[in-house]
Amino acid sequence: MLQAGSVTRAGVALDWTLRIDGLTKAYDKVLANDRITLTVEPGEVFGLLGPNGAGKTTLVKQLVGLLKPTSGTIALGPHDLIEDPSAARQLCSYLPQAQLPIDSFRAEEAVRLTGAIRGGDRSTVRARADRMIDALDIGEWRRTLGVRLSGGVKRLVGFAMVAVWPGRVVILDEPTNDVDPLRRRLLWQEIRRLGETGTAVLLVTHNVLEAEKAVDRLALIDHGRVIAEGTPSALKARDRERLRLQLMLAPGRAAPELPGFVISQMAVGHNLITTIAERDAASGIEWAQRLVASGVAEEYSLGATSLEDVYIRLTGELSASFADGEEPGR
Amino acid sequence: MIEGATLADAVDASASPLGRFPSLRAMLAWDLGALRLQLPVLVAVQLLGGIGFVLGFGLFFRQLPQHLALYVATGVPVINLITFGLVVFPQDVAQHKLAQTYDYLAALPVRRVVRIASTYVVTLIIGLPAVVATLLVAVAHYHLHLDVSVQVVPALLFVALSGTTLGLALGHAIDRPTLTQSVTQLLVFAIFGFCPIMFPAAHLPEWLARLNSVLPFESMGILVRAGLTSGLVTDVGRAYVVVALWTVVSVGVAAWAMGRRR
Repeated sequence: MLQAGSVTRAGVALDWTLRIDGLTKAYDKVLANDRITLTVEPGEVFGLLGPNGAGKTTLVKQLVGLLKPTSGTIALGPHDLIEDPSAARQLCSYLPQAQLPIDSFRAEEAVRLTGAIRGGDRSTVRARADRMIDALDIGEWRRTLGVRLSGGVKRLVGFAMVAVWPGRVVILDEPTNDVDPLRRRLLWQEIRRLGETGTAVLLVTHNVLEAEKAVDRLALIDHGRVIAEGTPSALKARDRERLRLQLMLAPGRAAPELPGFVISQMAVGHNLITTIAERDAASGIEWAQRLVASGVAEEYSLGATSLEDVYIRLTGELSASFADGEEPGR
Repeated sequence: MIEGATLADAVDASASPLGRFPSLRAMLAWDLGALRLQLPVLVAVQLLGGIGFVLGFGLFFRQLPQHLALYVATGVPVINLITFGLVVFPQDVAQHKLAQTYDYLAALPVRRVVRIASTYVVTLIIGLPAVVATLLVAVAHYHLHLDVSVQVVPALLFVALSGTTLGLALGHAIDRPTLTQSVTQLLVFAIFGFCPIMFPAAHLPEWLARLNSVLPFESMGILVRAGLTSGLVTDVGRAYVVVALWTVVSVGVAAWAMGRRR
């Protein structure tokens, strides 16, 4: 039985912390999630980062009752979300990775209707829908049918649909996909705003650079396991006093021999990404300039390390921020 | 922050607790809205399908005997209503599975009974006008006299419910969208050709007639026919039982499949 109200008669608020403990999901012998333990506080924007196939989406699908865990527990406040999937659906609002089925709805209609379906009262839903449509700068498509919207605008409408009456936890699976850079910034503001209003936000992404700016804490997931967890700055602590020296190698030329001061390196296409200590910056520049002068490299850049470097170090892969053409380390 | 507090309070207060489930009205608005682009085509197909079939029989047989004309007139609307539920909804669900939008809908906080009820109302809104139009055209074209009783109202509502829940059960329980399509096509083919809805069961080989007596489709025809004619059908009580059993099973399967966690 669901418990009435979150505020007791004595006025003491219930603790709406999301607690995931030992969550395991096995498909045959493959562990899609392997003993995942996480805690997300109300109002916190929590990032779930990891390469494709790491098990992030599997994790969130168990939160909203689409998948049943093999073992482990998920509790939100007083509710056991595994025992009571209907409570999970009521309390968690979910934006899946795929686009939402809004082809035959006008944008504002889709947002308002979802608010009503989620149990919101009409005037509050209407006011919030209007505010969000303006805040995301999609007002010009307010009355446009979904079928005529671009992928990015559709994504923003989808976000407004899940956030208009959010429940206790909003789960966003790659919310910025297809969204243009300007509106991405607006979307991040709205995500932060959700956090400020006491809703916990669980953000699934493989775009590390975006996450670094937006999340309070994050967990890095690889092969179904949490391999690192903490605030972005705590995770970067090990890379403090280090720099990223990145070389774009000339096509057809052999990779250069690495000097002793290079701490780590990774080759991606024509890019050679290395980490060096800050004190070796001058030597690094000199080395890179030599490579450019001799034609081995076409250009180089030197910058502060970012969460991307942590991600590379722990997963051995580059994140989507790199694939999207964003410059790592900036 | 103020807005947040208000919202959080509203969530709590609305709530004895979570308790406030979204209304059927909101879900129905969603379901009808989702069909908006197809709605004119769906209504046209229902109308033309029903009326066209009734008139088409007149072309097959220049002189359709009155008792067969009565079967056609009272059978075509039933077939129309059943196949609407058996085709539109399973294919709609299959489409959501293909487009990966199924999860979003499944994760909405809507009780399964509300989702089923909403779909049922959609069937009534789109299906019933075609039933009435088909009947009127048939009566006029074949100069029939129907003996309409009030019994036809619950019969039509029940048949629509049964067709809808059968369709939902198929759509949600079958995992592979392509299989859903094949199954619904096969069913429609079987219903048109081999279920005694537009013709008497005596026209069928005995084994097929016996099989039909436990399937729901002939019984659906009997229920509606009993409300439109007198003396043409017997065993209406048994037909109610057969359709009721299939409806209960369909609702059970649909509800199970909708809430299934893999």
